[in-house]
Amino acid sequence: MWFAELVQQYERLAATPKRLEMRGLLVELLSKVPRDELRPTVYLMMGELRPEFEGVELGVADSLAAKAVALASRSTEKSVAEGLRKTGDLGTTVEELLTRGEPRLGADPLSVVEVYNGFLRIANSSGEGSQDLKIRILVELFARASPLEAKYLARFVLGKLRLGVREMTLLDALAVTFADGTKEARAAVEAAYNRSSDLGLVVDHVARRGLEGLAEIGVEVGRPVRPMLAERSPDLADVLTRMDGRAALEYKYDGLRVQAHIPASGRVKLFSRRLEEISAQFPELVAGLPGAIRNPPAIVEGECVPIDPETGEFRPFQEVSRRRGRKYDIQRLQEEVPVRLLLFDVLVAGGATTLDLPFPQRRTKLEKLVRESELVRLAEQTTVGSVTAAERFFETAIAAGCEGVMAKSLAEGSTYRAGARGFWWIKYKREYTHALADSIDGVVVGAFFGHGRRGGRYGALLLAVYNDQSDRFETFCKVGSGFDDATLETLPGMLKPHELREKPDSVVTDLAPDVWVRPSIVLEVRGAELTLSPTHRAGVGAIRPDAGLALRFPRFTGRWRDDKGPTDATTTAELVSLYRSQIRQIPKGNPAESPP
Amino acid sequence: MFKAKVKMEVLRELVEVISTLVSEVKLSVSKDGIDVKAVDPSHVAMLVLKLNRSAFEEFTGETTDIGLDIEKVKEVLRLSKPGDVLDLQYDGGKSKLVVSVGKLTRHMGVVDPAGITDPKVPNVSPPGTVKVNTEELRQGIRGSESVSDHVTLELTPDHFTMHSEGETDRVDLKIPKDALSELSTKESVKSMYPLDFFSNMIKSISNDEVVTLHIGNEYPLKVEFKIAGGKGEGSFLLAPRVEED
Repeated sequence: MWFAELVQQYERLAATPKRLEMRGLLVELLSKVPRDELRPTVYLMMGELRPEFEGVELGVADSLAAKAVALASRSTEKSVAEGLRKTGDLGTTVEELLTRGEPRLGADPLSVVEVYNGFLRIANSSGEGSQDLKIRILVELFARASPLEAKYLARFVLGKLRLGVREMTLLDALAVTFADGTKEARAAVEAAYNRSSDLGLVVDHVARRGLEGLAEIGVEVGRPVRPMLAERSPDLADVLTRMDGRAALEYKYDGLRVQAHIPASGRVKLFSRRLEEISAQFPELVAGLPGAIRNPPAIVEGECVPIDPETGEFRPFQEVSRRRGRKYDIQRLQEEVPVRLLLFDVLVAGGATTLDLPFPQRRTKLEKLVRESELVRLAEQTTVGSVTAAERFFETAIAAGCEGVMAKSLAEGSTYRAGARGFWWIKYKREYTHALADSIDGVVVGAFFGHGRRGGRYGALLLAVYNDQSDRFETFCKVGSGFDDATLETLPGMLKPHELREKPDSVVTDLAPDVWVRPSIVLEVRGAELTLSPTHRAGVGAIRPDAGLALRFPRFTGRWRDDKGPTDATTTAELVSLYRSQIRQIPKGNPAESPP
Repeated sequence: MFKAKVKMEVLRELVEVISTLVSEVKLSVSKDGIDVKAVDPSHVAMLVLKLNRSAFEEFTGETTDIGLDIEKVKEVLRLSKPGDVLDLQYDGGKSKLVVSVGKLTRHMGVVDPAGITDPKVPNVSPPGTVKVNTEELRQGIRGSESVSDHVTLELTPDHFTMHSEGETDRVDLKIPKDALSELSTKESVKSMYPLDFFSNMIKSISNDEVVTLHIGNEYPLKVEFKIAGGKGEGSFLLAPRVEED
């Protein structure tokens, strides 16, 4: 097929916002495309060259594309830049430039396959001379293109094709073109896509062999499955009602969802929720997973969570996201922000797909499959039959640094529904404020030895607030962040005069630091929010009978409050009122946070 | 297989003509000589050229394609002096092109010819033909270059004109029929062309004293010329600028 024909349909697709009309246009197009050109046509239309998870990218920078446009249209780079400033779109600019230019000599019209192969050659070129090759291929494409074709070439190259065609619309169109378009046909096409995440593969199979062809597409290790998604609910009672009174509850870790593919032999692949391969960002998982999975080939899913090496507690999710897209700093980040993978589902075990098993059976399979370690663990899970039990579990989850809980149906129908969002899984999160507005002045009552880079020094401090009613110091956090090297260096000397062998009576805590410190030093910390905690003792009973208050994600501001003595620190009463004041900022409906 | 001896001047002429359009070229070798087809990256200008085996001092060739980086050939030419004879040898495939001049030998890496655009040459036959002295054309080009980016070539039954028009100035080169060795057209024809290409083309072939221009109305220009003292010939095609109104 000529590229011109495809582009004509692009124009019509881009012009309609209506899904049905769009589907009609797609059906019209798909019926015209020769069989063996369907795959490239579909990829091109979605602005891709290969399924997204393969990570094939053109790697053409804006400046390179602009240069190619200048060469092909015989304009200066300056006039391309000017056009770009005016239109804001290289596509429109090249269209205008070519319309003004000389007609072409010896330029055969472009075919869809030529365009696709040209792009693939660009994507596959690397190393020395690849920039030249890329630009040469681009110039050739632009020079042979009509102004309209060039517009879409430029947009594709810059990843701004924007035809408005959604995957679902395309899948619908496939069901209409190559099957009977019934609800069942559509479901079959969609399911094949959800299992394979590859539109090209789906179109190939359905075009050749119809719905039967789709049945051949199974789950394959190395090819991501589109993840099952959860609905959300505003309260736990509603969650339990929807799940007929009984549900599995899991910690909802604040991390990066990872689908790990472990082949019997060969390299482990990790995919993000959006199906990008992220193996390179987590070399420790790639190396460690084969030892953690008893029966490969397997596909497991979990949450990758950053761990504070000093406190052993979870770190904010942002710390793990820092690793994404990094190529060079991984080694350093791996030491500074170690991660743990908390597994919650299994899609393939021992080479057999488990998608069609109900959740309880999958969980059992998962437990058998996984050999737990510091690096890989099972997600914390329990089964609850009452709102009270659910709330209790939720609180433990929050206290452990999680963002909430995930409820999972135990019913027969609780299979793994790839790519679907439904009430089989319901997330229940606390919506917290961005950051605690006020800082807290805490008293150092203990210290923990450091690990890794902080070996031989202190890695974290145990802090308390002052209870002026009982004249005690009640702990509310363990802080390891915010200390620069110079500070860490001076800490031992600073604490030395105040070190104690045993816990002083004035300190109230359930934690046991490596070194106890007589309350005397005050420092300023900030955090994300105050949460209820079973381990910290600040303000026990003020909000709930057996829970104290803890500062989530504490961080030293760098400010030592030398001007304050221990009894001038933030008081327990102040901490409690701070907790209450943040409740008013938190949107409705969290039973764990209602004031008594 | 390809083995030849060639005068430095002949190779230089060939390289100058080719480098007006491209930086990499595919030489198609046969037993009769060398053929070249090239199109500039923007597909505005094209070259078709044949260098006969008689243009070489010695020549043995089997059908083969050689992909060359023109800049590398220029580097070798810069090392040689007028009157030198260069020795060329190529065994095909990924082997190097061995170029010797005097005691110096360069083993030149070749470019995969598959990666070089192989243009389809359109069948162009403009209705008007004129033979013009290259020296006069060069003067006209020099005059135009300060005025505009474009040049209009016009042919009437009595004269050939070349003119350029800028915002304030206009330059005309007008040559009457009796001052031309050949002028044939039934009607008046004219087209406008990008001056930079036209200029580079004419400069690259100025060893030939007279070139033949084929002109039409808003139609590609065909420039016919001879190289290697008549032992080779070629033509440039140049797309016209179509006026929008």
